[in-house]
Amino acid sequence: MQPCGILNYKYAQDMAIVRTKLQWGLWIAFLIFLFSMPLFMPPIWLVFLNFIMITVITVLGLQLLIGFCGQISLMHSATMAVGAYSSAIIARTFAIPFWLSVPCGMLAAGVIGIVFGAPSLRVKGYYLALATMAAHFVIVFAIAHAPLDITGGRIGLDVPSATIGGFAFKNDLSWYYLILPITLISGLFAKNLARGKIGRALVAIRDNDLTAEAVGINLFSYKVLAFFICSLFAGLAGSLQAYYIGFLDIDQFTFWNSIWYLGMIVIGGAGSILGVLFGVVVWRLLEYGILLAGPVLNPLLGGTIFPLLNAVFAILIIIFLIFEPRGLAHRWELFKVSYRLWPYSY
Amino acid sequence: MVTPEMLLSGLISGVLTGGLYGLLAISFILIYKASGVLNFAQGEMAMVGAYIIFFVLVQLHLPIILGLLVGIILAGLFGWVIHETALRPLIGQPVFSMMMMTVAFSLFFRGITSVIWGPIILPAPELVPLKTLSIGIAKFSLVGVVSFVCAGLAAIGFTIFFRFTKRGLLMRAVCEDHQLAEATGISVRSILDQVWILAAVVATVGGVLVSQTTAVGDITANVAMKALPVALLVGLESIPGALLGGVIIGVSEIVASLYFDSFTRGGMMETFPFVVMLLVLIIRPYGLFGLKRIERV
Repeated sequence: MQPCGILNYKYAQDMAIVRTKLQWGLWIAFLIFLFSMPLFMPPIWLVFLNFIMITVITVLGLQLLIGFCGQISLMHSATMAVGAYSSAIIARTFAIPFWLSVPCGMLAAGVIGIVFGAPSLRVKGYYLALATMAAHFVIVFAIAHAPLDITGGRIGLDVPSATIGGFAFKNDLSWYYLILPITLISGLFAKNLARGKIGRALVAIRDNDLTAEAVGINLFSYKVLAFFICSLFAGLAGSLQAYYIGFLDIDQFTFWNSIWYLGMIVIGGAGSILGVLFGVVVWRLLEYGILLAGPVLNPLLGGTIFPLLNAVFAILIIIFLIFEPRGLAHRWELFKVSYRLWPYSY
Repeated sequence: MVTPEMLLSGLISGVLTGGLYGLLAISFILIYKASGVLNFAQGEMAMVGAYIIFFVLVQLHLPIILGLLVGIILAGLFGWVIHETALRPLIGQPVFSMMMMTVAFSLFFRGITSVIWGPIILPAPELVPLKTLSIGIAKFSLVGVVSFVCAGLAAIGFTIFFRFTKRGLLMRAVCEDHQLAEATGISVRSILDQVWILAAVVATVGGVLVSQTTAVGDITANVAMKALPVALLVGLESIPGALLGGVIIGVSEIVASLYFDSFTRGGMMETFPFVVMLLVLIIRPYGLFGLKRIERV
């Protein structure tokens, strides 16, 4: 709902992301805040921020697939692994620079997404979830048990450091200024995709696939496209994570990671790009909070801080599913409506 | 090199573990058939069952018969609680919510059991003596035989139950259509409660039998997860078929690990069921014995 006096006369006005002057101001303030964050943050927090942004990128892809197209994928972290491993292997064997190997990793992840997303035309709902779950285990198995000189198997793989034009990204600060623009661009891309022709087609498929096909939407190509885009995001996030950590290990990409990404979507709200930000930030802050409290809690619990984390997250998901199925994004919308009508809300 | 002797003993143990998978798959199919919920937390339900039996037998020191009885009752209560608290509020929600709920439960059970009982695996109370029987050159474990017999009894029992008893007929009516069943005067809620209780009890029996050969811990859940490929292979409908599906999966994973492990540096045993699952979903999504639903998309 728009504030009083803001009326839409053109389609472009109706579709605009930023509609009022106040919104412009807030956005610019938010961007300045983001870019100046390292000035007043302790350096250790930059690591957290970088991981939050990488997670935002990967969950954006999952949001487009689940929230907009309604296709369930439980293999998201395996797709990330494919992206990470392919960019690292390409960079190692052909000595390809960072800016070229990351797109290669994205493309490889996209191909995997197409291969395992193609059955989505025949299998739906639960069955698709099961198929992608099986795909996760098969992909992870293939990476962990491939010949040792290719993927490093269980030993892991060293990733060369990222350089662009002679500048090496070595400390967390430089990484922050690399990942932040990428995250912002990904978010803008996802938002534009979601409100454009493709996004409308995906929403139509989610709401009723029979009707969508009847009005001339090619189900197969759009479903595969959704899987492809989702995997591109996952590949991007996976490659960035691999370069950022500088070391690859298949245990960084567990099945539970895929489930956590789904949990972030539940908390943020399915079908909302802004919800991704809410979900990831809430989840990660809670995670870091519990981990920071670990030294205090651990003696009480007998060293079971990680299982406790799982239990807390699970309870959070259950509470959101029962009491707020539309997530924090819905709360945010309600909040906006209430302050825009204030003090004359009814 | 695979000798005939290895192959034979592998096949026998595959058939016997297959029975166990079948038993776990039956519990899975019960829930799916009646409520239309695909329970991703099935393996964890079996794990919680194993923990409950561990709790009553080892920590409370109850005598075996009484302990098993109390354990079974607790397990049934557990199934009832899951259904009433978590899945009933979600009626009418999209598939994604239902799936997330069961997935969240699997995360929760794994977390909370580690917090309560510690992050280490526990030795299971010995209910079936660890003996190896042998007929000719074939060797097999007593636990395997017991679990296969249990699975067979469960398959026969549930088949008779669904075919010839009134309650079984009511459950079938509920699984066909909730609204029609409600309209004919069946209380869908109480029938679903009963189904969840039954399924939790069956899962507990399966989990206890799994823990006899492994241990009580998340390892139990990992083994019990193989009920998913089994249930999918037979098509989520047929209860006697679950036993056959279990045997197929059990044998094929052993054969795969015998022949392929040398190429892949191990791990075939854990992954092969999921390869089968992927193939089934792509080639024949309704499974071996499932009803082929006609869809026009």
